[in-house]
Amino acid sequence: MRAKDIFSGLLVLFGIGLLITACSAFGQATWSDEEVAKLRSLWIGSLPPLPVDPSNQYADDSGAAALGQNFSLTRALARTAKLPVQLVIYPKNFFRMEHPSPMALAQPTAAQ
Amino acid sequence: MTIIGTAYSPWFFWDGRKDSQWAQALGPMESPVEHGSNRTYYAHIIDQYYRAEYESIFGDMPEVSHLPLLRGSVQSAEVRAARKAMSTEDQENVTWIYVNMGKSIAAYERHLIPGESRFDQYVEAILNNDNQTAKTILTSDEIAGLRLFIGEANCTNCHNGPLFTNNDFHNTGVPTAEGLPDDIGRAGGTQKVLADEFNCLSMYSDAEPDDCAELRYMVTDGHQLERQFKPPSLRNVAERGPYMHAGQFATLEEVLNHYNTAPPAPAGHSELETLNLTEEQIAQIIDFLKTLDSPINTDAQWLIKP
Repeated sequence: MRAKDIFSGLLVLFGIGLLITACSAFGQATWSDEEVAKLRSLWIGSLPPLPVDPSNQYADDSGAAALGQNFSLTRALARTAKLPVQLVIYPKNFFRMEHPSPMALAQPTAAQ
Repeated sequence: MTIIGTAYSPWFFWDGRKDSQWAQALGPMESPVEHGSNRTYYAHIIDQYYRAEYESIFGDMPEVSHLPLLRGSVQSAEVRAARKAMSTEDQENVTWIYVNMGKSIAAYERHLIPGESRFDQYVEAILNNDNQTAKTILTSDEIAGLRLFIGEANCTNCHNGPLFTNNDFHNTGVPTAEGLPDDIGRAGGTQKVLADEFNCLSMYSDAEPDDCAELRYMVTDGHQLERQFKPPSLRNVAERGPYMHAGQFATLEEVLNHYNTAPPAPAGHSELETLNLTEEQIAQIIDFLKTLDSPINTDAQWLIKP
C-alpha cells in the first residue's frame, strides 16, 4: 500500500514536470503581476506624448521640421562635409552613423 | 547611438554635454571630425539654397553675401581669423542663423519615434491576457531572454521605460578606447553643458530660466560622476553596432560578456556586479534584444529626401 502511494506521488511529480517542460517548449510563459507591470513599463504603448521643448519655439513647427529635413537628408550640406550627412543620420541605418570611426565617435562633438 | 526617440531625453551625447536637441544638432556641424565646417559657411549655404524657406519661418534673413566664404573647420586658423575680422553684428547674425538651423533639425528629429516591435506585440498580447497570440510572437528563447532582462541580469537598472533607457548616467566599467584621449564621462559633460554657448539658459534659448531646471539643478561634482555615461535606447540595438560610446565592443556578445564579468572601471566606480550568466543565457538575452527591431513610427514623408 505504501509503495503504491509513493509510486502515485512520483507519477504526479513526473506529470507536473512534463507540463512545465511542455509549456516551456511551446513558448508559453507565465508572468507575475510585478513582471507584467515591468513589461507594461517597457511597452511602446507606455510612451507618453512628446515633451515640450521650451528652449525651441519652433520645435513643433511643421515648416521648421521640413527645413530640418532638408538639412538632414539632402546633399547641400553634405557636399563639403568630411562625413556626409547621410552617413550620420541616414534613415535606412536608423538615423545613425553607418560606419563610425572610433575617433569620430569619441571626439567632443561627434554623434550623440 | 541613434537620434530616434531622443526628443524624450533631457541630455545629449554620451556625457550629456548638450541639453537640447537643437544644441546637439549643431555640435557635429562644426566638429572637425564630422562635417568639419563653420557657421559662416552654413549661413552661406542657407542663403544660397534655403533663403525663402528660412524666411517663411524665422523672418528676414540678414545679409551674409559679403562675408568670407570658407569651407574649413572652425578650428582652422584661417576660419578663426576670418570670423575675428567680422563685425560683432555679423558674427551675431551668423550665429542666429546657425541656431535656427539647429532648431529646424530638432523640429525634424521630433518626428523620428520608434515604432512597434515584436516585443511590443508580445506585451500587448500579455496585457490582453491573450496567451494564445503571445506564444506565436516570441520564441521560448526570446521569452527566456526577456525574463533574464527584467530579472537576474539587472538590465532594467539602466535600460528601463518604453525607450529602454532611463536617460541618466551610469558607470558600467566601460573600457577606455585605445588611442583616444581620456574620457571622464559625465564629470566632464556637466562642465561642458554649463559652459555651452547654446545651453538652456543662453541668449539663443527660447526658454525662461525657470524652464531650465535640469540644467540649473544638475549634480555637477562628485567622484560618482567619473566615467558615467548615458545608456542609449535599446530599440533597434541589434542593428546598431559597434557598441559603447567609442565603439569599444563590436558585437552584442562582447557587450553581454562585459556585463556578465563586471570588470573594474578604468576610473570611478562601476555599478556592475558579476552576473554569472551561462553562455546559453547570454544568447537568450541577445535573442530578446533582437525582438526590439522596429520601423520608425512616423509619416512616410519624413523618411524621404525632399
